[in-house]
Amino acid sequence: MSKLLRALLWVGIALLGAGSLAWLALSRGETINAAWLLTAAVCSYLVSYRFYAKFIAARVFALDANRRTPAERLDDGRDYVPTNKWIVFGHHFAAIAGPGPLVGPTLAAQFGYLPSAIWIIVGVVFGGAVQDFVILCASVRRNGKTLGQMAKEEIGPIAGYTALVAVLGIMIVLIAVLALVVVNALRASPWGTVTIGLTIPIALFMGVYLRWLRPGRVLEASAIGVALLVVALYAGKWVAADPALAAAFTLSGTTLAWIVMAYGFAASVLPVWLLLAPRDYLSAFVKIGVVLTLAIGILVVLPPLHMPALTKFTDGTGPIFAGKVFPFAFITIACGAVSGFHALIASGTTPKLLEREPDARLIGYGGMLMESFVAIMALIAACALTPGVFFAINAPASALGGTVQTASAAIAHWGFTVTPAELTRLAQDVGEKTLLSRTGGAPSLAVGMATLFSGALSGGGAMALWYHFAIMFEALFILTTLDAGTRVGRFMLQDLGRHVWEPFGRVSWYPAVLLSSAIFVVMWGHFLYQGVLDPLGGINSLWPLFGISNQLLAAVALCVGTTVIIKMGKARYAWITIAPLAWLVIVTMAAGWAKIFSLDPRLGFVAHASTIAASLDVGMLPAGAATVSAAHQMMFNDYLDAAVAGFFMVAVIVILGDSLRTWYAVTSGRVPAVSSEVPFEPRAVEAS
Amino acid sequence: MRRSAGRLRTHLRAIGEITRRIIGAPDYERYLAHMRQCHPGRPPLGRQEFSRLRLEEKYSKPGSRCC
Repeated sequence: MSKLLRALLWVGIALLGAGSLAWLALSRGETINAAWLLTAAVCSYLVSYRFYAKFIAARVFALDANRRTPAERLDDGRDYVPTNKWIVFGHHFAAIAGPGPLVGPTLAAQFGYLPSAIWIIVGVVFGGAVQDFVILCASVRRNGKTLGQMAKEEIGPIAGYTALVAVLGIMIVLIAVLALVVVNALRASPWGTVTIGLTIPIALFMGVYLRWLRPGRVLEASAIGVALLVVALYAGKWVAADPALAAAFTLSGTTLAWIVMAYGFAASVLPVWLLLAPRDYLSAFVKIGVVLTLAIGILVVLPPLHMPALTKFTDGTGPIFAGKVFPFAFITIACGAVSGFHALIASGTTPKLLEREPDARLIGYGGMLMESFVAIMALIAACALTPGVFFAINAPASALGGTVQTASAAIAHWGFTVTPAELTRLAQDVGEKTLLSRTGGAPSLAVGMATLFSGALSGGGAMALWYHFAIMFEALFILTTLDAGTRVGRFMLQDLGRHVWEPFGRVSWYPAVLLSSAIFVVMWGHFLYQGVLDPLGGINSLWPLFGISNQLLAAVALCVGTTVIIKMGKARYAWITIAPLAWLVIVTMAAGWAKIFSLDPRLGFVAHASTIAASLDVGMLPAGAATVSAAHQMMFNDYLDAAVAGFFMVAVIVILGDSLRTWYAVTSGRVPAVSSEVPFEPRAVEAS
Repeated sequence: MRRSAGRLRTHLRAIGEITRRIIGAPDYERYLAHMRQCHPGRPPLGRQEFSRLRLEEKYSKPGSRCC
């Protein structure tokens, strides 16, 4: 009887989810409530976790609670530590969740809520969560090997080295685009600049506290840090209210770019305990706190979605970034649907902590479902804004003009309404001079969250505080990715460079440390700087590159996963990873091709360079370039961006080709299907 | 009364322990216990040294940070 009840319950959940999704897709009313989106997502997650993830766990990997995990076998009290599954889940989630799932859906909302909603839900169930789960299982069965090692050993050295160089390329683009998001959020905002600036001395103080005052008291130091963050929030408000101080902290985009680069360099060369580690603790608390607050805000308010299901920008004319809904919606939203970066985490710290093999389902598959839920919440926050406000914040200045009047007119031309007075009042409400063309997604998400929070938690008041709270936490997230990423990039560069010149690889020799850090900062700093100067807003060129690179890494991970499954002798289940792999190869190739070769100068890098050349030929300066040399610099950047996109495409082809060769060798029987798993060892036999 | 205060303290300590592990702080106590149990003859590292090594390790390779 209870079995029947349970079956009915699952049928009910599945029907509810499918019904909500259908309602979302077919509803053509004025607005639709966010509850439909939440229900569709949560029901899909439950059903896929209960059935699909369980299927993969049982049929493909045959996860076994009696098989010893690396944590148990190699327990060393440091890396390998058997840990309760909920703790590993928290740790893994805190590691995978970053600004990505918040920014991507915000930008992709220019197509309307429907393409993003479908991609986030379907993408995670069949792509992202599968990737994380499969890589985690593969790594657990191989003593916690990294993705790079597995690519080399399972597929071959060519794939291995390509993956290594690709990861470095991805880090460069990732850090540059995230830094651009921060710069755009702080540009001409004294309140934000002061608040974020103060987080650095706060982290330094925590570092000193943990080193000398009260060693090891991490929670104490974090509590003090969080309290000081609140002080920093009010300090920013106070500075912004004082005309002289406000002027001193009103910084231009280029100044902020230099400051962010200096910060990245400092984080890479200073001792870890002083800056990186304390920031990371602070960020972990803020991260979990904000995700919970956002969930509460959305559940309490259940806002209507003002964005239509589909906008006319699906045809590729969107102001935020160019390109049609296919393939660009699938590139813009990487984290939240499929994120290749997670494969590095799922083959990093996490597999060394697993107490029992079956825990991998909760941590790998379940952790990614959580991240997808964060992306759904970001989508809701973006679509709960009226489209007029959304485009006023996110469209670049070249599309809106510089004033609220021109912006209002441009937006009316797109078919949405927002009055100049509304735009002025909104900016005043959140304590900013202007919200026009604050591209990058962070300010628009902050306005969305401030609206939700002030509605749910402070009865409609305190908009400005909530707005800057949201900006602060987004910047905190991003800066922790940026500083840790710069340091990791420095190590990777040193590791590659030591083959050329041995002393370059010495990780604690100061000349090598300074040189490699400087080179790495210049690499991402160049992209950041070009993005800041770009008249199209920078995000238009950099975010798609980031999306392509992240999906490339996902393709690598799925190639590794497929190879592992085939070598286990389970080729009949290889569709589990081949299906998302095929889709990702199609979208990355289509998007990469369009970004390089499209004839539309807003979309194609080469076409854009040609328009600059054409206007120089007739003796005119192109928009956004003050001098001829600046115009030449813009052309150089276009060709560089095209080359980077081309590199990512070639990397996909190389890795896929190498994988296909391996798969064919095994499935045709030329090479025996031998799994490189550590052989089965039963857990300690308990007297029973 | 005293008993429940003691129990509260135990609970708080457990919550603190869980939180520390979630945010990935170096777990010196766990390491000490491991050294005592498995390598009783070898002198363990000091707290400072252990924390320094753990953090250096954590921020030197991709796999602890994401987008």
